[in-house]
Amino acid sequence: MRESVGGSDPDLIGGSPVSRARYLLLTLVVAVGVGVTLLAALSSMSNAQRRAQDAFDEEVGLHALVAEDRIHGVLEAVEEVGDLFDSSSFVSDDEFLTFVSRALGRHPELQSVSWAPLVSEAERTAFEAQARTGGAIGYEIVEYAADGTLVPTNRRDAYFPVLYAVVGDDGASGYGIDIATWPWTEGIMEGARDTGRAKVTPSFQSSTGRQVAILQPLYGRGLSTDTVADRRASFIGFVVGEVQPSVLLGHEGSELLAQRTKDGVAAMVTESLASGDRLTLLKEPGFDDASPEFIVSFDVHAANQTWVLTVESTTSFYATRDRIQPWLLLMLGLSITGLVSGYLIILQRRSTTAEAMVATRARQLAVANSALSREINERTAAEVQAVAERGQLQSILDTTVDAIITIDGGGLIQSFNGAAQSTFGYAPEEVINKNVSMLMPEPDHSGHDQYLRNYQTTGEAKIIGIGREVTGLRKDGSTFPLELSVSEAPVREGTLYTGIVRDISVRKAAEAALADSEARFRLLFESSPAGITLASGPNGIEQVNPTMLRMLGRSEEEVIGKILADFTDESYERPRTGSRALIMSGETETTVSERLLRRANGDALWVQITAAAFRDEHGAAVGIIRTVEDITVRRAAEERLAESETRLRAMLESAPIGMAWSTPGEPMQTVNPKLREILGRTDEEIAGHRLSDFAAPGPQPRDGTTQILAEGPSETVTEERRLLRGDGTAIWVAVTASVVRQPGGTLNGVLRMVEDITERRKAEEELRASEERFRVLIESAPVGIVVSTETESAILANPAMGHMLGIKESEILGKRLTEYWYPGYAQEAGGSRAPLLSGETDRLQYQRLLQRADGAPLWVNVAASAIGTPNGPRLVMRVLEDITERKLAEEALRESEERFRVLFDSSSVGMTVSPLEGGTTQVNPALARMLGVETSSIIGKALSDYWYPGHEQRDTGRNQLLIAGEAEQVRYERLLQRADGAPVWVNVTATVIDDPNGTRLILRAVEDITERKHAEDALRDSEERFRDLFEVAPVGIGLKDAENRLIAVNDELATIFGRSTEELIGNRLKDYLSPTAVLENKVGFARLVSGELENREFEHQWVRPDGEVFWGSGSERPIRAVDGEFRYSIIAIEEVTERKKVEQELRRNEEQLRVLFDVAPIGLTFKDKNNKIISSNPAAQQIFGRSQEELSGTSLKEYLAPEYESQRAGSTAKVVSGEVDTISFERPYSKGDGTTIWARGVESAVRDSDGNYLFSIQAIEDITERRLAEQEIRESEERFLFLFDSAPIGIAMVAPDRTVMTANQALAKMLNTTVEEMRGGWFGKSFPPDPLGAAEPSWSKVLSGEVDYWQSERQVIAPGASAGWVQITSSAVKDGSGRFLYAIRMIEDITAIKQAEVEIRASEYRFRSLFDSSPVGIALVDHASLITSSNAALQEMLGAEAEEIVGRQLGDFRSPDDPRGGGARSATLADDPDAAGYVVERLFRRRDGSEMWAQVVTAHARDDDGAFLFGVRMVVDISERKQVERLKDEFLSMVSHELRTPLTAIQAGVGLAASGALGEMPDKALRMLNIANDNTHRLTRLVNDVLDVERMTAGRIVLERVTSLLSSMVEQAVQAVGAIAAQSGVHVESSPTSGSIVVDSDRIIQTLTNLIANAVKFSPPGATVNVIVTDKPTSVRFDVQDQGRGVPKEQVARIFDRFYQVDASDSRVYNGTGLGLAISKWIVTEHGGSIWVESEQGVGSTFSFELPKHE
Amino acid sequence: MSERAIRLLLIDDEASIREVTKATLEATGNWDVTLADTGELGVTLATEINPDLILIDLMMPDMDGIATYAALRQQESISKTPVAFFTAKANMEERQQFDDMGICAVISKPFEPLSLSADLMKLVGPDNG
Repeated sequence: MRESVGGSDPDLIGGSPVSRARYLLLTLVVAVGVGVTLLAALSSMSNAQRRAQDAFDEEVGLHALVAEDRIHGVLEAVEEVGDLFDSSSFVSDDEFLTFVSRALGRHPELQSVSWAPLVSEAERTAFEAQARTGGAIGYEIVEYAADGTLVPTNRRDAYFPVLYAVVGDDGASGYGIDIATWPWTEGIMEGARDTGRAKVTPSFQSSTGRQVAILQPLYGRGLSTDTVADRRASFIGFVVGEVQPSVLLGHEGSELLAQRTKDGVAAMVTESLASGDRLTLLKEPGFDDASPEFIVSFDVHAANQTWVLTVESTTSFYATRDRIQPWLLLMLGLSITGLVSGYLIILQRRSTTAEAMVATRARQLAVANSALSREINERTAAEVQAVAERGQLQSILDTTVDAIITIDGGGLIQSFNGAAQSTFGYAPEEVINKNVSMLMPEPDHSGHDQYLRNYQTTGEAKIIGIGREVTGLRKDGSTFPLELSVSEAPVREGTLYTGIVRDISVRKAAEAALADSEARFRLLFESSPAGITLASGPNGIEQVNPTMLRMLGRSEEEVIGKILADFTDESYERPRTGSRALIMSGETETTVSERLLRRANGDALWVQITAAAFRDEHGAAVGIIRTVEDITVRRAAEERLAESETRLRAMLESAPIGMAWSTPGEPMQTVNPKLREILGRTDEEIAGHRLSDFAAPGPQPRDGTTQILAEGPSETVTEERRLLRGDGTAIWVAVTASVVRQPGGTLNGVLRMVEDITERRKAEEELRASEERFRVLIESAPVGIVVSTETESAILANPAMGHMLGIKESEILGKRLTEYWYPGYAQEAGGSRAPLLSGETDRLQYQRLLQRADGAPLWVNVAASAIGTPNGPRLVMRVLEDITERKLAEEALRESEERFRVLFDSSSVGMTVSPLEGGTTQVNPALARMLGVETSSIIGKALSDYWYPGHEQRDTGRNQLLIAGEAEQVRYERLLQRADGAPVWVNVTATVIDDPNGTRLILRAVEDITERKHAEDALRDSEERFRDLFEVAPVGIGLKDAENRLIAVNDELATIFGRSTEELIGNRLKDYLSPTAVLENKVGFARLVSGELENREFEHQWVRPDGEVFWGSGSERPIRAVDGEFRYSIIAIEEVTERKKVEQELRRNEEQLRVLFDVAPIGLTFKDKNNKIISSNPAAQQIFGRSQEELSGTSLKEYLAPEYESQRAGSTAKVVSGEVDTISFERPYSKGDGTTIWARGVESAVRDSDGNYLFSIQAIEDITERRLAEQEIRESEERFLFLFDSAPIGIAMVAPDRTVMTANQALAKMLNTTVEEMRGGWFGKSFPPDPLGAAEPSWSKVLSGEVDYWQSERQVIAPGASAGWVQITSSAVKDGSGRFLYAIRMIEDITAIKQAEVEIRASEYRFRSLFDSSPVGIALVDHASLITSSNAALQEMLGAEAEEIVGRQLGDFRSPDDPRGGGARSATLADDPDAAGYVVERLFRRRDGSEMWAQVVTAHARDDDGAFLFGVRMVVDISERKQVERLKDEFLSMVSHELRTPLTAIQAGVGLAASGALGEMPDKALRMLNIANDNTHRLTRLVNDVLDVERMTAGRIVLERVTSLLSSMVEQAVQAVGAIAAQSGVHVESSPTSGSIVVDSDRIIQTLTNLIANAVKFSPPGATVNVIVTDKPTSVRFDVQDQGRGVPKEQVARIFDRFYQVDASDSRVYNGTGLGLAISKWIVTEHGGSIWVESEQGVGSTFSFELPKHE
Repeated sequence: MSERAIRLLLIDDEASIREVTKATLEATGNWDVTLADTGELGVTLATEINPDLILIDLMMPDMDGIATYAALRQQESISKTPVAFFTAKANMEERQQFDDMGICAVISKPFEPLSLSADLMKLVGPDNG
C-alpha cells in the first residue's frame, strides 16, 4: 500500500540534471565493484581452505560455547529444585511445587518444570482402568505409539505401564512416561533415581514440539540417601524439566547465534554409557553420520554426568563453505556490483517516471502550494512509519511475559499487553483510555494522578527508571504485590510512560516462607540436642550451638575460630583425609566419623560427627555443617563388648567341650575345635549346616531347642542326640543350648555346648542290663517282695510272695497287705508307711500274722523301706520273710516257761531267783517251808540273812564266780537257821540263767541235806575210829597172810565180792576168780611173797556168789618185817566193771564211726604217708567219679585238673613231717567222666601218742557250684572295675575314715597323680572342702546314715591338675542293715562352667557398674511395670533408697502436681508393641518435697516371638529444659497480659463512646470512634489469634475433652457472630441437632465461630449462612455453607495456611487476621479430625470439618 | 433492671481498667461499682459493703487474684458472694481449675463493653437480677 502511495508521490518529481549525475555514479560503481571483486577473488584463492577451517571452527566455537552453557544452565536449574526441596522442610509439598514452577518458569531455556510423582501400583492401575474406559480423571494420559506419535492411552488396545505421570498445563492433559514404549527411558529413570543425579532423556516429539526431559530425582525429606537401596526406598518422584533440544544446542534464544547462519554444521549430544556405547540424547535434524571433513567432539560435564557434544560439518557446509573459491568471490562481487547498479538503474527509472507524472500533473493542476503538499506528505509518511512501528511494538509487547502498560501524560492507558491482561484480569478494551489508577488499590489509586502531575511539573522522579514494589489491584478486586519499572518515551503528543509490571506475589510468599524457615532453622540450631558447628572456610568454626558448647564445656569465644581437631584428644588418630576435604572435593555428600574429644575439664568425650556440605545457589559447597553427638557411653559399651568377645572367642577355642554359636534358625556360625573333634569333621564340612544335619539315622529326640528357648521361660535346654561322625561312626552327645541375649534382652543367638557322652550312654545301657538282672533277682528271691504305691496298692509282687500266701503273685497286685491279715488277730503296731514316705526313716521292721489261702497262719517278718527318687513318686518295698516256724518255736518256749513256773512252785527243792546284784526276787514254798517262814518274808533278802549264827560258812564267794562269768554253776553247802531256831543244812546249787528279757539272774536250788549231814557226821566219827584199817576206805581192802588167805577185810571189799566179811576171812580171793584169770594171778602172789616183786597190780574178773562176774582192779603190797620177811600183804581192790563196760562201748562207737564214714555227705579219704589213698568213702568216690578200687593206691594229685598239676606239691609232706597239723586246699579236679569239678578239702594228720605219723584224713567237699558263682561274681566285679577305670569322670571310693579305698584313672589324670598314690590318702587332699563354700554335710552325718547323697563343688589345689574346679557327687553305700560301708564319690571337671560363671559374673559386674554409674536413671521393670531394680542415679533422682523403689511403679513417685495426674499408676505396657521407645515427660516429687521434671523413655526386651522379657525405664532429668519452657510460658502470659490490659481500656472506652452510651457525639467524631472501635476489635482478635498460634506451635494448648452437646456448641457459635451477622445483614441458620461428642467444647466453638464469621464476612447482604451438623455413628460433621464469592480453585489447598488470605485486600476489607483458619485446622487436627473446603467461585463455599467420636 | 442498683466490687490494679469498667457498667446497667486497687483493700471493702458480685483481676502485684479470692473466702460474711475473675490471660487451661475453686465465671479482657453488664448480671443471684 505504501508503495502505491509512494508511487504516486508527487514529491519524487525531479529534474534532468539529477538523471545525468546518476548515470555517472552508476558507471563509477560498476567499475569500482568489478575491480574490487577481481582483486578479492585473486587474493582469496591461496588460502581458501584455511578459511573454511576457520569458518568451521568459528561455528563450532559458537555452538559449543552456547550449548555447553545451556546444558549446564538447564541441568543445574533443575537440580536446584532438588536442593530447594531438601532445604525447605517447613514448606508443604504444594507450596514447594508452586514456588518451584514460578521460580524456574523464567529460566529461558526451560520450557516447563513439573513434578512427576512416583505412581503407586494402585494408582497406576486406577489410571489405567479409567483411561481404558475413557473416563476423565482430571487429566488424560498420552503416550507414544509405535509410529512415534502421541496418542491418548485410552485408544490403545493394551495398556502399557506408566511409571510417572505429568499433568499438562491445562490440567486436562498430560503425558505418562511409559516404560514399555521407551525401554531406554526406564534405564534413564532408574539411573537418575539410583544415582540421585539429573538425567536427560533422548529427545522426543511432544505436543509442544521436539523436547528432552530432564529428570531430577527427589527423595523424601529426612530420609537417608546414602546408598542405592536407601535412595530407592526414599524415592518420591522426579522434577521434570522440559527443554527443546534446539534450545539446548544453542540455536534458539541466543541472539549471538540467531544473527548467524547455522548452515553447514550440526550438533549432537550423546551420553557416555558404562559399556562404552553412547546414547544419543539430542540430535539436530541436519546431523548425518557421513564422514564429514570437519568434526570435533568434547566432553561436557554437567549434573555429575559426562556428555559428549559432537559438532560436525554437513554437506551443506561444503555447499556453502567448502567451495568458497575465488570464482565464487568473483561471482559474489559481480553480483553485488550488479545489484547496486540495478538499484541505481531502477532509481533512475522511477525518477524518470515521476518527472513525467509531475509534468503531467503540473499541466493538469495549475496551482499547487508545493510547501503545503510537502508538509502533508511528510506527515503521512511519518504516520505510516508510526503505524508500522506500533504494530511491531505491539507484537513484541504481546509476547513478553511481563505485563507492559503504556500510559500517556494524563495517566490514560494507551497499551495493555497480553501478560498485563492475564495479570490484571482486564481485556484491553476495558482499560484502554481509562486512568491507570484503576489498576491500583488505595492509597495509590487516589494519589496516582497527583504523582504524575508532580513529576510532570517538577521532574522529581519517584519511580521513573527505578524498579520498586507496589501493590496492584485486579479486576476481581484482589490485590497483589508487583514490581514496577517505568520508563518514559517522549512522543509527539507528549510523553508516553511505559510500566513493566511483574507479579511478585509468589516470590513474596516464598520470601516469607524462607524467612519463616530461617527462623525455624535458628531455633533448631539453638535447641538441637546434638552439638552443631558451622564452618565455611579455613577460619574454623563460625557458629556453634549451645549444646556443642555444653559438650565441650567451653564458652563460645573459646570455640569460635577453632577447628574440632583443637578439641580432639591427642590419642585419637585422625584419618589422613579429613571430612572437609572429602566433602569440598565433592567426593562425598556427607561423612560420618567418630572421634575422641577432650572437654575443658579434661574429661574424655567420644562423639559421632556427621559432616555435610551446605551449598550456595549454584550447588557449590561453601561450608561444612557438623552435627556432633555424644556417644561416650556407647563407645565405652562397644569397647567392653569387643573385649568380652575376644575373651569369649578364646574360651570357645580352648573349651574342652564342643561349642557352636548360631543365630536362631540359622546354621552354625562358629564352631570350636572341640566340636570339630567330636563331630570328626572339618570346618568346611560343618559350614552351612545345623547340628541336626549330622543326626545319625534312626529315631532322635526332637530337635526343638530353639523352639523351647523361644517359648521360654527356660534359658537353657539340654538334650541328648545321636550324631554321625565324619568317619561314619555314631556317637551320643549331650547338647546344652543356651540363649544369649543382647543387653536389651532380644535374642541374640544360641550357644550349643556339645559333649560326647557315648561312654556314658554305654554305661547307662549296662546299667539297664544290670537292672534287668535285679528284676530277675526279685523274681527268684526266696523271700516275698511286695512293692506298693503311696496308697498301699501293690504294684509288684514276686513269685515267692505268692507262694508264701498260697496264691498267684498276680492276685496280690492292686491289693493291700492288710487284706491278708489273719482274721481276728491283733497285729502289732509299727507298720505305718508315713515315716517312710516322709523320709523320717528309710527302714521299718515289724511282724505280721497273715493267713494263707488254705487258711493256715503265716507269720512273717516284714522289712519295709522306701524306694524311689527323692523327688519322684515314693514307693514302699516290703520284704517278707516266713518266720512261722520260729514263731511256733517261740510258742513252745512260752509253754515250757509256764511249765517251769509250775515246777518252781511245786518243787520240793527250795528255789530262789535273785538278780546278780543280790536280793531275792522269787522264792518257792518249799524253801519257805525249809526255813519255817512265809515266802513273802524271804523276798528282798539274801540267803546269808538266814545263816546260822556263829557258824563259819565255807566256800563263801562262790557266787562271785557266777557274777564274774567264770562259772555257769556253783555248789556249796550252808548251815541255815530255821525260824524256830533249828539248824538246817542245805546244799545250794546256784546257776546263772537268762530271763526272757536277757537279764542275768541267779537261780538257787536249795536242798535240805540236814539228814545227810548227820550221816556224814556219823561216818566221820567212824572214820576217826577206823582210820588205820580203812585209810583206803572207798576201795575194798583186805589183809592177806603168806598163805594168800584173807585175814581182815573191810566192808567195801565184802560189798565188791558180794559176801560178808566173815565169809571172806580165811579164804583166798583167787577162789573167786573167774576161770579165765586164775593162772596169771597165782604166779603173781608167789613172786610177791618171795620178794621178787615189791608189789603187783592186777585186773581180774571175779565171780560173786550170785554168779555175777565183775571186774576188779587192784594192787597188792606186801608188808614185811624189819628183816624183810613177808608177814602179810594188803590188797586193795576196786570194782572196775563200769570202766570195762565203757571200753566195750568205745568199740561199739568205732563201728558207728565206720558207718558214718561210709554215709557221710562229704568225701573222706585216708592216706598213708606216701600220699596214697588207703581208703575212701562213697562220697569221695562220687566227688571224684571213681570207685574205691580206682582210688585206692592213687594220689589225689593225679586227678588235678591239668592247669593245676605240679602246683602246691609237697604240702602233704609237711603234714607227714609234722610241720603242720592240717592243710586245706581248694583245687579243680578231673572227674572220672572227664568233667572238671572244684573241690575243697582239709587234710589232717593222725598220729600216735608219741607223735608219730600214722595216716592222714582228707575231708573233701564238692564246691563246683560255689566256684561257678564266685567266678560270675569275679567277672561282674571285673566289669565294674573296667567301667570304674574307664569312666570319663573321676570316681573314688571313700572309706569311713575318709581315706580313698580306690580311685579310677580319670580321677588320677584329673589330679595329675596315680591311683596308687591316692589309695589310702585323704580324699580331700587335692580338693579340700571349702569352709566358706556351699555347706556340705558333716561326715558324721554321712556315717550315721542321715545323709546318703550330696553334692558339692570344690577347687582343685593339686599341682598340674587338669581341672580347676570339680563337682563332687557322693552317694553312701550301705550294707543290708543300713550300716555305712563306703562312699562312692564322682568328681566332674566343671572348670569350664566355673570359668564361665566367673566370666558371667565379670560381665554382670560390668553391666552392673554401667547400670550403677549411669547418669541416666534406670529402672528395670517386670510385666506389671513394677520396678525390679534401680540404679543410683534413679535413686538420687527420686530421693529414695533402692528398697523403697523396688516393687513400685515409676508413676508412684510422680508429683501430685504432674499435669497428667500425680501418682497415677500406668497400665502395663508390656503387651503394647508400640510402647517401646515411648517417651513421656513426668513431674516427680522426691521425699524431701523437691520436684524434678524428667523424660521417661520406655524400652522393652522381648524374645524372638515378641514375648515380653523385661522392661527398662530410663529417666532423664529435664528440669532445666522445663524451667526454660516455664519461662517461655510466663513470658507468653506476660505478653498476653501486657497487650490485653491496654486493649481492654481502649476497647471499653471506645466501644462505650461509640455506642452513644456516653452521650451524643458529633457525626465525625462518632465515625472516628467507630473506626477506632472496629480496629480495636481487630487488634484484639489478632492478639488472641497470635497468642493461640504461639501456644499451638509450642504445644502449650492441652485439649480439655468433655462430653458436649452439639446443639449447644452450634448455638454458642451462632450467638457469637450474631452481632456481625446482623450488621452485615446476613442470616445465619442452623439445623437443630441432638447428640453429643467428647471434645474440647470451647475450642470447637472457637472453630465454628471462625468458620461462621468467615462465611458471614464473605456473604453479600441478604444472603444466608447455613450451619449443618451431621451426627454419624463414629463421627460428627459440621458444614458451614455460604453464598460468598467462593475460593479460587488453586487457592483451596493453601487457604488453611497461616496468614493466607484469598485476596490481599481481604485483611482490610474483612478485618481478618489470616490466622483463623490455621487455628481452626490445628484444633480439628488435634481432635483427630479433618477440615476442608469445597467451593465454586461465584456460587459459594462450604467449609466442613469432621471429628471422630471417642469412647 | 431492678429497682436497686447492684453492688459490684471491682478489684484491679490498673486504674484505666477500673475506670472504663465502672463507666461501662454504669452506662449500660444499674450498677453501683466500688473500686479497689489492691487485693488487701478489696477484702476490706468487701466486708464493709457486702457487694452482690466481686470481680477480681487475676494478675495483680503482691496479692494476686487467687490469693485475694482465698482471703475473701475466709471472710464469713461474704463467703457466699459470687466471685468472677477478670483476666487478660488467654489460656483456657486454668479455667477448669477455677471452676473447681468455686469461681462462677472468668471474664476475659478485653471485654465487650455493650454486653459486659448482661454477662455479669447472669452471675448475680435471682434476688438481685
